[in-house]
Amino acid sequence: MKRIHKQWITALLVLMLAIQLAACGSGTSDSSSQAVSEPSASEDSGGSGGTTANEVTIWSRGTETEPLAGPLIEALEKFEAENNVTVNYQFVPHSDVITKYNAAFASNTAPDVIDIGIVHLIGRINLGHIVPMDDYVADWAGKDDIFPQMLDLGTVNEHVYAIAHYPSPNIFVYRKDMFEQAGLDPESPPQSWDQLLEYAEKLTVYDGSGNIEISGFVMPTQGARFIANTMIRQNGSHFVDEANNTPTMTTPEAVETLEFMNALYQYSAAYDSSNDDSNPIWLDKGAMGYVASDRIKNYVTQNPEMKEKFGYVACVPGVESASWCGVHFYAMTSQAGDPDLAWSLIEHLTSEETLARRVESAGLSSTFQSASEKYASLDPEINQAIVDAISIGAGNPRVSWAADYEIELDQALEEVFYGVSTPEEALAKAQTNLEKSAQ
Amino acid sequence: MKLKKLGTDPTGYLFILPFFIIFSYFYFIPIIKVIIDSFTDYDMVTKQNYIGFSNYIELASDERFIRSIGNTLVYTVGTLLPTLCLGLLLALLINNAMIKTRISRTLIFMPHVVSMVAVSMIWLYLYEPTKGVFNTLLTNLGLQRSDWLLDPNRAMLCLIIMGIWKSAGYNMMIFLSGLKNIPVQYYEAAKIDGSTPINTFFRITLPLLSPTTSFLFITGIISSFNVFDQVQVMTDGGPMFRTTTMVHQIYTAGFLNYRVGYASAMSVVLLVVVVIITVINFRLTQERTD
Repeated sequence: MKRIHKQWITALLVLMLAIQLAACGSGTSDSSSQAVSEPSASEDSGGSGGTTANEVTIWSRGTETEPLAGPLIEALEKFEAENNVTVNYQFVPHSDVITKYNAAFASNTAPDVIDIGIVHLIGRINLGHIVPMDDYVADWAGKDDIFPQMLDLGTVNEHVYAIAHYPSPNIFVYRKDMFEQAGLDPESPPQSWDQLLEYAEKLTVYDGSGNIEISGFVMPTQGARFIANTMIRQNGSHFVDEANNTPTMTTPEAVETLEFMNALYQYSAAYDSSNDDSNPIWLDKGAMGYVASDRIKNYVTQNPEMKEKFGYVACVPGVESASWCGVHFYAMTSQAGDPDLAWSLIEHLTSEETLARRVESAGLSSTFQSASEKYASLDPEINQAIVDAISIGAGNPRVSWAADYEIELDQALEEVFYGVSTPEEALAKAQTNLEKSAQ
Repeated sequence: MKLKKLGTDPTGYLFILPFFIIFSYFYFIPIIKVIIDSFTDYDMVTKQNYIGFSNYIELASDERFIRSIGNTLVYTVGTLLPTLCLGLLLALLINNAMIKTRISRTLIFMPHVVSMVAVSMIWLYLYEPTKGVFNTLLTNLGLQRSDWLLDPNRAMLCLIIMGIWKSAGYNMMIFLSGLKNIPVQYYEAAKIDGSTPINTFFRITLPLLSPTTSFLFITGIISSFNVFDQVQVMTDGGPMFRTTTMVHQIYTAGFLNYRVGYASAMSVVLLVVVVIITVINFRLTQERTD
């Protein structure tokens, strides 16, 4: 038998190392600036997303067990049949979305249409992953039916990059029975911030040790940024100047908002919003609060005796009315093999007929007015509040540093709630950190 | 020129070659790549540019990363020593024909085999402030409730307790194996000499368990420095970054903020810290053996 020499083994390992390092190359595109860029010529060239003629691919966030999946699959099958094309679809779990989308775009295997959320919209635009659809939208029948606020959310620098199709707003709920026990009118929710604070104090119940037994207003100890994003708009301001890509965390309105939230926090038991099962409202320990609309609908479906005990409104206004509304968008990718076909699919999925079917079959809310009217009529008491919340809703700021923004805002709120910093100090720190991120 | 001999059994190299290929591809090469990436602004999508030591300079003034180093050290010290002591105590207790049954060993070892994520979800509900098991017990006993994971001064302790509970069984099994290797004659001789049980433990058992202790110490340090699952599931690094750890910061920078180059620099720092501690431990063990 031949002798295997130590040098050959070493050489083999070094060769493998060299090959691997050479293969681990750089990205395929040039770096882009942080500011949103004008649409470039490359976006019109279409891509090689792996689809052939008469074939279109869509990726939707979530899973096949979610309420959105059934109507979506039905609509895709109908599109296939009506247009004699092949529709490839895939559901991407939320936890895998970032990694899977990044890998797909980097390897030139991205689908033609993707479902995307607000927090990643600007990032994808800046990277050139999604393209504007202005020419298609100009002739689109749905542009007069979609809520203007919802169309605006998908519009950046006056170009429509994404069509909002499924809203997920928070609404304000309150316990009528607890209102009665506290001597408040159960049919009259608070109409202003001052009233909200006053009611929160009256509704809070303490146990013998001075711990809060029933929270007058449920304010998360961790993850209160959803409420902060809502209340800053209710206070007539924003934490971020999207047009100039800068944080505006230290305005008087911002400080006032955190002071108000801190005042409300004194009437809440501690809970972490990322563990929504521990929300005192679901545990019968909360009198008022903002909750996800799909969550409250699930809750009263599973506990029908509770439905009459809750009152539902879009929000408690400050100087303005505003609500938190997460949104699912459809966007056309820069690697769409046939942009016309991709747009046809988006148009079909957001058509009045498809959305009406979505309302009927799955009871899902809509970003379009005609479907929303139908939706509200199904259950006026709660659905009207949801529709109202959609019409005044907005989500995270549309900036490329939205992920940092979420962290800094949560940190500022925690520091205020735990008494570590004043609102001014906490917001000043957040402002400094976000200015670095924005650069 | 004559070629060097490979030793008495050169075919041994062939047998370990598959392992080395796999090791190189999945461990060695990725480590080299991470070190290289730490000197770049790699973000998984755009072009990778060499930026020198910028990532390391930024790390030196990154408050949260510095805090994560402190938190990781607290977690390591808080978990490792009690886990070793508890594991040894359980091994000594269970090293008894009557108690050393399969059932008792299985029950104590079981937490170790359950997925950390599953365990974290369960402990999340135990610690839940409103209706969690612990607060319900405290209330029923007339004691003050706690915010547990939402209390900045208590959150890390909650994670440590959970970590000790999960790891003690594994340490117990390894110590049991170590105890089995101590010759019975030493104990018989000690008994004849009139040694007390405590004396016997400190003069015979503990010294002869030092290789086992050393192994558990090193592996315990490595796994404590890699703590991530329970932090991500139970606290997400909060409240106020009081429970964020080095690996949690690496995850946040690399996968949430897409700053893979920066995360790679953090990984290199973690690697250096773990290597230093391991080398110190090896040296100390070597001196003791000498």
